[in-house]
Amino acid sequence: MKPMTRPLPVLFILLGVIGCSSMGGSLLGTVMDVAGDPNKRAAVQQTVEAVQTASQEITPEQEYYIGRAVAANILATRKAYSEQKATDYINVLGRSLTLYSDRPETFGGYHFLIMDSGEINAFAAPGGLILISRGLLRCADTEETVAAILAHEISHVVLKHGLKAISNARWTAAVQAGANATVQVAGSPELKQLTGTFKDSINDITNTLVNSGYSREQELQADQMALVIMRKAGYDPQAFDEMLTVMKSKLKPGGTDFAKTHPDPKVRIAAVEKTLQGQPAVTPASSAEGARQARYRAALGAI
Amino acid sequence: MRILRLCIAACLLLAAGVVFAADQKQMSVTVKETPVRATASFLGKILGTLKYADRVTVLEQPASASWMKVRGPDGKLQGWVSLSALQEKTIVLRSGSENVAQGASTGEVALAGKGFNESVENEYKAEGKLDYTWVDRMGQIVVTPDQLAAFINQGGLASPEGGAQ
Repeated sequence: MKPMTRPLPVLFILLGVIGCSSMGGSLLGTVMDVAGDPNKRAAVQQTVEAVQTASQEITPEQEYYIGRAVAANILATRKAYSEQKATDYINVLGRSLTLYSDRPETFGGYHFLIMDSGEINAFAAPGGLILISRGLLRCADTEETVAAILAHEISHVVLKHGLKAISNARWTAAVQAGANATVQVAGSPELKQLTGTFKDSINDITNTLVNSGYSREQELQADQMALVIMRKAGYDPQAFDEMLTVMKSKLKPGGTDFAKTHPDPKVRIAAVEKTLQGQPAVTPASSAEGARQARYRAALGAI
Repeated sequence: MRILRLCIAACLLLAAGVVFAADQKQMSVTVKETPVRATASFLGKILGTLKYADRVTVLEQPASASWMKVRGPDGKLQGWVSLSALQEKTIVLRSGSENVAQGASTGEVALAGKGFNESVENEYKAEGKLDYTWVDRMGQIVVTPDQLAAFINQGGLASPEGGAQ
């Protein structure tokens, strides 16, 4: 009879381990209940530490709320151009291009809107809300050149350039305020503090997009990624060069649009041409070329 | 002796189960909603959808591919999901929810609902009297899979497998 008693403790330990891991989910909320149990106490500590470390990162959901606020700020002083055909076209073209990027999906998805303005401007808010002016779309006269404009903006989202405009100090403050459990309560001081930090972060990004612009390196990086997206999609990247050449002729020195926030098109053209040198051209079938041009004209011919 | 054998068998089975579970890589869904497809392509047939923070089991991950074959949390839904909609870290919807401890054991936890969230947005909107009408309208613009497929085919674009690298 003696051997019978031996395996039982092993079984209990195994069951205990499994039991602990499945119970662990409620540990954070019941810290006081497990205070007397050293094993569970250690598990709680581990959980709390892991949660604290991770909270310093931006979740896709946070990126989404940041992007919405940035877009709302930009649209507070700019009118939307809501013509249906044009809006549908840049959305289906833009969404198609994202499929050839390294980030085809974001929390809230990619959405494109035309701004009713003659300035040459575009804004890529974090998470994929992309605003393009009529003036910028007038630098394009084919589907390929519109694709070049959209691919550049999509690249800013893929590379998370907007989020990088938030200062590190801001994140420290957000983590401190966000870690507080009462932060969800409407009207609480913690929520007000976190909202203040949110506001500052949005201002950081909006100021960068509207006034100072991304760094020259970030712009050139977005250009290079756009060339890759275009080639993968089947659009000739040479169209990027053509679009920049038109932009160069249209930008007015001293303007408050791309003239202020983007590197001189000459610099961008030089970098693009260097990359394209020696690369084969992408030539679509003539039927496809006709279809592209027909749908471009129908949607944006009068932009 | 019979009971002894049964106990040993039970222990071995349990141990095997634990090892098996540990071997199965888990990922979390990082987007509001993502389709699960029959093939590793954005034009693949949609079998169902997964939601933010869903934990999925990885069944297949072809080298250098931007897709993963996964099994959904219900144990039934199986198919291909774009890598851009997945991350290894567990996403915690509420502190105290079940997946906190799962992720915490490996230090792989990302908080959701904490920090900048809907409550913050509402407070921010009210304070700044900011108009979100066009932002909401943008969010409602939907390009259907059929529209995408037609656009890609008609324009002679490449088959979209994802990834710019």
